[in-house]
Amino acid sequence: MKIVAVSASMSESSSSTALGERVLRAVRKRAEESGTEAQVSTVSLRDLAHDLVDMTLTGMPTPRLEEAFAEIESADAVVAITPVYNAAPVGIFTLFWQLFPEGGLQGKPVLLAATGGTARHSLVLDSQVRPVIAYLKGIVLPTTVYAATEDWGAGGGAGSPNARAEAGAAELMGLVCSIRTGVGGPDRAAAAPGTDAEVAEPHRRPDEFDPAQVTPFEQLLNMG
Amino acid sequence: MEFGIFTIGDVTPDPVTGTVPTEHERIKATVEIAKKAEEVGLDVFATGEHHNPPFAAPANPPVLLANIAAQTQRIELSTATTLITTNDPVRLAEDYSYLQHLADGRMDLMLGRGNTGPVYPWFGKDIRQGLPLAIEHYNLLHRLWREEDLDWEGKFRTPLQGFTATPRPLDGVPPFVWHGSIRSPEIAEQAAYYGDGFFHNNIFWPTYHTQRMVNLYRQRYEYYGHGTADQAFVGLGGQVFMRKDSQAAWNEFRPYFDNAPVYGHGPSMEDFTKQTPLTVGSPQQVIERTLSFREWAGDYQRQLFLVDHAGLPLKTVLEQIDLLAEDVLPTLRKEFAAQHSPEVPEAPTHEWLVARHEADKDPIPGGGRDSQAFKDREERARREAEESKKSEGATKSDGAGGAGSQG
Repeated sequence: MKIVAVSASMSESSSSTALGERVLRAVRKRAEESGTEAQVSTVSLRDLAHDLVDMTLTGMPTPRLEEAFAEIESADAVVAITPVYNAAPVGIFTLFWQLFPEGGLQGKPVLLAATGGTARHSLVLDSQVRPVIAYLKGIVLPTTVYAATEDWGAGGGAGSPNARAEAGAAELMGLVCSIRTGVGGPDRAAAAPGTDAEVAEPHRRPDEFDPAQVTPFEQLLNMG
Repeated sequence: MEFGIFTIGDVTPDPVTGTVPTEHERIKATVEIAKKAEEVGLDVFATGEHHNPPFAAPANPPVLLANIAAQTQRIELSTATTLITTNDPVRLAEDYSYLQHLADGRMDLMLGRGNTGPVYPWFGKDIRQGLPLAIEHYNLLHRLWREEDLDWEGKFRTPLQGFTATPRPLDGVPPFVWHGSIRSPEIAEQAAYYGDGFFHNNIFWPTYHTQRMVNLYRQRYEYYGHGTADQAFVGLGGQVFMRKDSQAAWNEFRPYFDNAPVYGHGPSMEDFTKQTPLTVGSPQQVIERTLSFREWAGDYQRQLFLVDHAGLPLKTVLEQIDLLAEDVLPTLRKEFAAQHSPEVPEAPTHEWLVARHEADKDPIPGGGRDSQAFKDREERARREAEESKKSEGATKSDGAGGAGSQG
């Protein structure tokens, strides 16, 4: 199963990189427990920052952006991580999803994670990111993972980023498994090995430029 | 293979001198540019249609084109584009037929939906209906040029009763139509359906996108039985800035690129020249780039260059046209001719269209009896008839959808 992480982390040593790794570790562990292997790749928005501005101005995705969009569209699930700047996700994170093809997240579970300087920003994911991802037809998981600076010094008890990462990963794998097998969560898939023989492919947008899929002109004429 | 230039008539400040041409200067410059194109032997001059600043392109291109027709002998006049959405098809049929007579057939046109949303309400049209307007309007235009005493009813204008658009097209043969679209598969499909040409103005678009649009049009052209996919009529855009010395071209064009409203402050000129057809360099580099289009577009019939862009002064634009004619086209013509398949027609001229008409080989909208589209329609009608027989018992179906179903 293919998981793509979209990270707006601005450096390798940032707390959002650390949180992203923590969430992905939890996802991998969950996948293993349900008998599958998660192949995780990361789209780093820092590397695409100039491409994002260029596309905003020209309307045309650069080849690297096309590649990133395709990578995400081929995923079974997405983990999105952003730092919070002044009570909002960092601009290039928002910009990325604003340029992402409409409907491109259809049928994909999306786990959201963010870091911020204070716990007071913890609803940023629910109030600002959730609507954008839902608009793109992603299935945003109920649990989001938020880590404030103070969390890094606290323990890993209930409600801690660690615990939320575990809960989010469980929701993510449960949903992915039921979508892939069409029969229910990881428990049922594990209880009846073999039922995942017909694994559903991730949803793909129809190719509007495919001659075999084009709307015949007579139909267009008669709609007028 | 035809080579020409197209203009959108933008009034752009020259970033080097700070000069802004007046509308009058820009309009007169456009006529000079067209006359220069004729003088040096280019094949096509095409003008855009615009209704708002900063453009001084004609609101009705036949006004400009008739003026140029009177001052030229040979060059083919065209548009880039004529708005099929906001113009009344009756006026389009009449104005372009009139131009066709004045120009002795030396014209064709390219239809587009335009890229300026606010135009719709200026002409009493609904912007939300862009695509349905393009489809219904062209269907009417197509018929107005081919039928007299026309009875017509549609959604977007008052019905016509026994109407004959005047003048009738020259020699009874309507002007050739290119359908221009950057990203609407429906327009590529429309061009294929009627057996018309398809023009992709790829100046801001990467090859992989343009290629898919062209391929869609070609495949559907064949499906509708107008010829093989290779034989369809394809036109492409492109924009160039040349000097004999490549580095001189880069140095001179850079301030124009960096500040132009359409290019500036976004991707670097290096990235933009890689990702789009923009070619800045020596004539030899323009030759190589343009020849490479054939590798992904197939044998195509019309190549239009944008040369009067980004606020370049008239003198420089005229020099660009000279370079194109003297240092680029001789080689391009030779190379394209050497590779061009004899099975693929050239861009249609009036004489060619008259000959096709007299040979009774005009394309049949939606496909004639030998086309796959026709066979699919028959098959669908047969299946539907069977089903209705099954469900309703004895009711006989007359079969859905004949060729065109335009009634």
